[in-house]
Amino acid sequence: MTTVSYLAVEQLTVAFGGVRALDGVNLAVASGELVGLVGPNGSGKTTLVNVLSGYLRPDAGEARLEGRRIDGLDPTTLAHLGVLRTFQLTRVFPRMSVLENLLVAGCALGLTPGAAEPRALQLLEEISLLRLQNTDAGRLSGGQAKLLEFAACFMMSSRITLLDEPFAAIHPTMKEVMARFIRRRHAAGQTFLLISHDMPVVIELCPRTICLNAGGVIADGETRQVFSNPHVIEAYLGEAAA
Amino acid sequence: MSALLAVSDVTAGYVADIDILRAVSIRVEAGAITGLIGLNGAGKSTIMRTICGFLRPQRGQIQYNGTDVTALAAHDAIDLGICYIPQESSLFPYMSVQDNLRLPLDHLRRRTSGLARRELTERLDDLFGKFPLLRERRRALAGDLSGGQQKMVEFAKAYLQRPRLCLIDEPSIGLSPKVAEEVYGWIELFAREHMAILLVDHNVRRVVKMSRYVYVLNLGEIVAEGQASEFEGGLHGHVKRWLNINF
Repeated sequence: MTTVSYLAVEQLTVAFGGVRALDGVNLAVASGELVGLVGPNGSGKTTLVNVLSGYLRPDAGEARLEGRRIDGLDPTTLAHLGVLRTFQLTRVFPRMSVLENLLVAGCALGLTPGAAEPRALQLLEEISLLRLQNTDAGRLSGGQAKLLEFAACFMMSSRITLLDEPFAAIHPTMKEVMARFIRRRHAAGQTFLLISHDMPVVIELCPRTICLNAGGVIADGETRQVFSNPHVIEAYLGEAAA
Repeated sequence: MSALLAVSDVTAGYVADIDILRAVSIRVEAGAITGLIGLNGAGKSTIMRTICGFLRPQRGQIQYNGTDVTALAAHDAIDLGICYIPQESSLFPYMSVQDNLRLPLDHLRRRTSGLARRELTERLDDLFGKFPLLRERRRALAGDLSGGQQKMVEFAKAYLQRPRLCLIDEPSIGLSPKVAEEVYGWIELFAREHMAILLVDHNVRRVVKMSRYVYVLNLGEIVAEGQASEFEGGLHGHVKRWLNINF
């Protein structure tokens, strides 16, 4: 059976000086999949997300979404095409309220303020931040700010959501809120690529996982099989066995 | 054996409600390499920043050479013989290699009466003997050097200070395998000169091979520790445990 790739990455290569952060990466994601992207520090995960979200131009290769070339497009164009992402380092507008932060995200993506507000309030309820809607975002805790940035990604229906370490350094309760949210959206058909070092969450959430090492895909398949692969474990040791 | 550095029950973080380190205790013996391994985000660099005084712990104590240095100011670390080689460059890119190298020495000469001008010159000569490339490139701007050469300047700068304790954070990251080998060679040089080293590197096998004692940090907590020999052989099992893979 042939399935049409929703997101297709072919021979994607990005070099920083002499170091190839991505070295001919090939992968495909089908519509509605929730795919884990793992690998040791420096393996190229964030570089891949940076290319897919328009923050980096590849030196070679291409990325397509529903057949359309998306590599080289700028982040704003990609956001309007429905490629939305979070960042490892949280960035919110500190002097705007929690609600206003989401309204800005919604309006920047083309919603009218009237349409953005109910959506924002709904999202805040889902991530348990509704009671803080009028609080300045700068007064949130680190974990709450991360939840807010995460929610901003869902102000528009996206074609693919790229999550870069959403669970890093947040309270377990907030992690559960986020995981529940992702699970629900995935069940509703939303497509995700999820970078995380939190393997139990990846194992629980993602039916499929891709492992990168040194800029290349070293394993791609059912999540438990990927984590049973000795090459994956070896990658986390940082050096091939002698 | 008595520890040169003893970190006891240290809890630390960057924002109020998130503890990056949770009751971490580690000891670094004088004149030996102590390895610290763990995944990205485990808190390895945070331990180093806390020891150096860039981050003040919320709880716990740090003892160095029998003295409480928990509230150490980062700029005083050098006077105590503590040197930190961070993962990212700490060089001044628009200063020459030589000026970058002399900065800590000039500081030490001002702060301690023991370091005479003659000794300063001798240390530089000795250094250029051990790192001959730096003699050639001493007038180049540090920012014009390659990544590997800049790392060499970092190590040379540390070596000049003759620290008793050197904290080395991810020294080989982003370097080609050949240059990374050179870097490991410099760490061994430091160890031969009886410096105590706390070494963080993503290359777990290498850390285990080079260290006398190893700590494993996972999500801000020490989850395993022991003589390096105890880790050899069973590394796959350890990695699975660090990753919380239970099948």
